[in-house]
Amino acid sequence: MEFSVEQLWIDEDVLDEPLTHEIVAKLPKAFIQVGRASTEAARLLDLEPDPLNRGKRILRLMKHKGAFIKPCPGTREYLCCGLKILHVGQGCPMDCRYCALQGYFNRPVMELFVNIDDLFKELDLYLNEDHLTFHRICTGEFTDSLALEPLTGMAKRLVTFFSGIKNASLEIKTKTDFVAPLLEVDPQGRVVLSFSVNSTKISRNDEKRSAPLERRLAAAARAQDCGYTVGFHFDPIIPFLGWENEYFETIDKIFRHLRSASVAWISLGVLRFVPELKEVAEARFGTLAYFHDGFLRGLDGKMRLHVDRRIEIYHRIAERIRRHAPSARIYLCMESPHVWRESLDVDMETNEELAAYLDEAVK
Amino acid sequence: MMSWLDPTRSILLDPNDPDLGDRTYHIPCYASLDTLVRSIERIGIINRPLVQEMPGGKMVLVLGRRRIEAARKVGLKAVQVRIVPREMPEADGFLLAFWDNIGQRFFDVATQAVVVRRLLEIFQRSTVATEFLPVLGIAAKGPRLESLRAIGGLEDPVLASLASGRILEKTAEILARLDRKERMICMSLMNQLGMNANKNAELVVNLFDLSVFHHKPISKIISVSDAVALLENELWSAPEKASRFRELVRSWKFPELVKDEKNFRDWQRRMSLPKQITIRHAQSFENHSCTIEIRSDSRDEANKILARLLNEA
Repeated sequence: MEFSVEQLWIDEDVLDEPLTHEIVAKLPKAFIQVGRASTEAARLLDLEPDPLNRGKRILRLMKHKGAFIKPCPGTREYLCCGLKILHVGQGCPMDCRYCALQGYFNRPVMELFVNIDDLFKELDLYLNEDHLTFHRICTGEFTDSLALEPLTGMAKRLVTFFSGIKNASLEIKTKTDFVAPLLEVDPQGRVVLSFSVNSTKISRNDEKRSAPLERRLAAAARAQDCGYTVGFHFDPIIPFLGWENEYFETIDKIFRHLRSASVAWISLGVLRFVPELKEVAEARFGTLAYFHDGFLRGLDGKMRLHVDRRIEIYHRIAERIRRHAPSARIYLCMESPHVWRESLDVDMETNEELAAYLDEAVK
Repeated sequence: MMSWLDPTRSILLDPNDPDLGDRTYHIPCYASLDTLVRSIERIGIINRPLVQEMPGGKMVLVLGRRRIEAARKVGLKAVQVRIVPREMPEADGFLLAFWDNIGQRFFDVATQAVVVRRLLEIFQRSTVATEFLPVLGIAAKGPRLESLRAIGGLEDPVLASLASGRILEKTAEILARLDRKERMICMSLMNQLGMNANKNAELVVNLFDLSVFHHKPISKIISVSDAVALLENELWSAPEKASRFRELVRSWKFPELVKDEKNFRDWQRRMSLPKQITIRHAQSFENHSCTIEIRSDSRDEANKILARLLNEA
């Protein structure tokens, strides 16, 4: 399974980058636009009723001029785990109907930063400057970590780099099963290969072009056999009618395929979204029933289900997980100490405590 | 574009002749006709309307629909009009109507919606985006353009409500997503309850959300006995009825929140707080925290209150 890239837009200042040449060589049939030509193409794309639709088959190669390492865009009002994002690119060839990225970026094409020498220099400097702190770093926040791996080989390069690092771990987060290249590298315990998972119904209907759940789990099992710790992200959890059994089924499947000892963490996050996302997503996909549930403004301005409903959902899912893996490291994404306490019976009061809890899994 | 205004000729036209329902070159205006009627009564029609004679002799209005409508009300038997050639293409005629209107008046959102819909029917999207949207003040990117296109297809009474501000654009957008029957039910409900535009929006959004989430038409949702009894109650005033109905629908959409709100109000009532003190709950009851607000008449008084609180803390 590979994603089709029909057009390559190349910024002039990256024409000579080695990664640019590699990618061009791998896409002999792609229509290439360089510099100004792609600016005009971008303008015309913006005028289409759904620019993202075609934009997911267009890859722009560009130089990243800002910082490659940034804090995860979490929220002050809820607990955050201190994850750092390694900004390797943005956009994704898959098209999940609930995806927050639809409302987040104003450029509809996929973008890849090909000045990877600068990326590795910054990583090196960052990790050496503060070698006493342990850093958890992830590449899958603004893109899927592996979606373009057959084209870029970025994840394999990063795994190789991180395998030699003592004060950091890399999390690779994906909805694909493109793990094969990574299995050639020994991660030395420094890499968590995470899979976003959901109920079969949501996965099938709402995660367009993603790998079916079974294939993701099979990939996780292969990774585990090759020495990777794995993680799972139940995010977003969407409580449609009959949700419980469907999510329990997914949990049961995970533990049929995987050994619980090498599951680093399982995160849970009930659907939440910036208010604008509903309009954007429904303009693209038509009415989506789950966006019309009883969403309220949370402390961070995002639309969230009532706190008691979320607590109940987390409690039930955690209970099911613990049936298989009593000591599984479960954490909640962007929730308050109140929700941690009521749903998981865990006292998690500060960001630092949460960071330490997760660091333990990978140190 | 050839200037179709050059070779026009003048004729006398019975104002009852043109079909006012013809939408070929229609740029709606929802303002009252009364002032124009009085003006024409006093001084007649200064600027001649423009019509196009179609095959078969039918006259289609290009410019001056309201002048013709006002002329009918005044009872004029004949009006001087200019005729453009029948060969004028529809696109050119609409451009005439568009540029004449936009040069003279502000387009409210209902008019914008109708115009956007028509422009997208006649011209390529890229042409609409570059030639017309900047002048209309509408962004080419994002979902709003498609939303306006949908709104532009709504019935006249709905568009008139939008133009007059009785409903908001987001209400019209939701109404555009309903079938005609459901839409008329919502319009009738809003007329009956007589709420302002913001409350109408909240009501329609909530009803629509309930309808989508529970896969039930709005007509079925509001036909439950509680809702029917409330709407038929003749003892309550219109505002009271509206407030209760709104709260009922809220309780369907946000049952946990409404229960929390009631419990909080009951607790506040039991506290019998002095007037200077208010207590607010956390946003959406996300946690059990409260914010206590104490009003003082002066800084001196504030200092005294703070000193007491700090001593007791």
